[in-house]
Amino acid sequence: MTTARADQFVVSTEIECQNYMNLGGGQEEALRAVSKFLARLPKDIPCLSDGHGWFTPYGRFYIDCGHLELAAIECDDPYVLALILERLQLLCRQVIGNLAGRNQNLRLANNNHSGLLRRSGVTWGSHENYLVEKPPSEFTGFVLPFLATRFYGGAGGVQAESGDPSRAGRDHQAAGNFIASVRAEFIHHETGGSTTDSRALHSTCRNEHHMGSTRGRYRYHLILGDGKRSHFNIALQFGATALALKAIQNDDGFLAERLRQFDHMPKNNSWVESLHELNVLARPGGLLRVDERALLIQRTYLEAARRFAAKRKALPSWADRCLEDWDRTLIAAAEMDRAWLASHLDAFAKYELFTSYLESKRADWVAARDDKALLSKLTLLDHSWHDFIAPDSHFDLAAEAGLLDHRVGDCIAPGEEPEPYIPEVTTRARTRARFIVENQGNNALVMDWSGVYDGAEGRSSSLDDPFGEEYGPWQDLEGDLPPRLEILGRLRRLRGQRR
Amino acid sequence: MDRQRQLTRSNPGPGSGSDDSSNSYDSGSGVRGQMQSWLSIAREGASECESLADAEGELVRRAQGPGQ
Repeated sequence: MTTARADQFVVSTEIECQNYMNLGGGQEEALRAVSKFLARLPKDIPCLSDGHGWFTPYGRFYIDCGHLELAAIECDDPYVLALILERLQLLCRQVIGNLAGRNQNLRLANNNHSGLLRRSGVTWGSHENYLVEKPPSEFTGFVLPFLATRFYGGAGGVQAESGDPSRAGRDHQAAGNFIASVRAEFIHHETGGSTTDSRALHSTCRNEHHMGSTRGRYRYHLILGDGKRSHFNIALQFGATALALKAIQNDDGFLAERLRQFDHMPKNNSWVESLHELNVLARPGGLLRVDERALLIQRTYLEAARRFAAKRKALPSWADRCLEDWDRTLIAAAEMDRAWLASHLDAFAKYELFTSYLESKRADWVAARDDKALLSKLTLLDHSWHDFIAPDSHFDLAAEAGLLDHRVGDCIAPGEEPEPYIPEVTTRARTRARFIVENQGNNALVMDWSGVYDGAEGRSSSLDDPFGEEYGPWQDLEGDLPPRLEILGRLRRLRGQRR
Repeated sequence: MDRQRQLTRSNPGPGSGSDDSSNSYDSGSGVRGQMQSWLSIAREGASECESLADAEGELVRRAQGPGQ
């Protein structure tokens, strides 16, 4: 039986995009443009079908709930994950540039809410995946304090008063607050839940094996985080969380002992209420600050992660770098070093941008609280920050002005790797990428994350091991598992084929 | 723990600054120049926003349904 090793890491993310047209046109037009985007994709990069979208060497593209979704490949290094996300975004920019006519006005943004930010509003996710050695339901109590205080997991947002009379009182109190995490506002349960409603802080709705039916490797699927532009912020979020999870799963009693001091802390005995309370970075007219209780808890997990790392000789080199970045972030937050925080973390950069915008309008946060037009304009600025298609997004403007110190590695454009289109990872994603490059254009092949199905030959091959270096032998589909046949059936229906 | 106290000491505690209006960059160590740069970028945003006759209507046009 194969089990995950304590020094092995796999991180990945699934980004649901806001898709809209830049100049006029509603959602129907945007969705038509997304469909044309997907039709164009195989002309610009090696692809294989997944039945209703595409696998590329950098991740999967498909439509989910009306949103284009980019699911990044499995990475063994969170700093590489940030660079792979950049490559996916550059690819999107390239493909849209190659579309014809008004389709070039398609914009994609990795923000997480529609319209003004209200708890009664509409949200979509930027999910996280981590390889863990235990079923997530076994470490619920250990991980809740970490997740409730992970202020760097958010991308920042401004709360608006609800239009819903039943929520007006509660939301009026929150109106104008600048918060760390948008998604946190849509979390209502500590654990369990689903991805579309009853969302949970420690979500166990994807409590499943990471690879086939082999025990000892599980996919921990978080739905809490926001989409980000800062590479440093992405690497910090995924690296710190991966290391905290290792510290939790390999705790020798140190973490359990230290966490007892926070037993009394959950507001009304609920870490979700604490999450919402700690999520506020600034109230209108108030100081920007990270709650000291959140910093103490984060530092407890950092110390536990350091202890875990100190006992391992074979940890990847990024772990030490991440521990330093995590430490530096907590110091900057404790000292409220706004310049450093704004240059590294999306939420704090947006706070400076929004504050400056208000200043340019001779307004302030107190005025914005009750001014729907001002809040709407801040929201449009927010869209621009997250828009990764327009070369003059406010994120790009800030980077060009030297205000951001966010890069974690050199930019590699799609196809410019030493081995073109083969990403710099040691996971099975590298094996999958080679298969895609070698078999591009073969319309009989259908992929999923852990295998490939050959509709022409009626056979399948598996890549279950997250670090697998080659696909398993081809096996005839007769008598195989129904889900694989369902995928093939879907493919045949799509293409009107009979076998 | 001493280090933890040291790291959090300079941070105002919860609620301690809720009515404080001194919400700005410190004037020292070059950050004032950064503030000016944010202002410059924000002004570009301002011109973009002003070119939209109706920001609220623009949000409605861009509205999307819920996802996961």
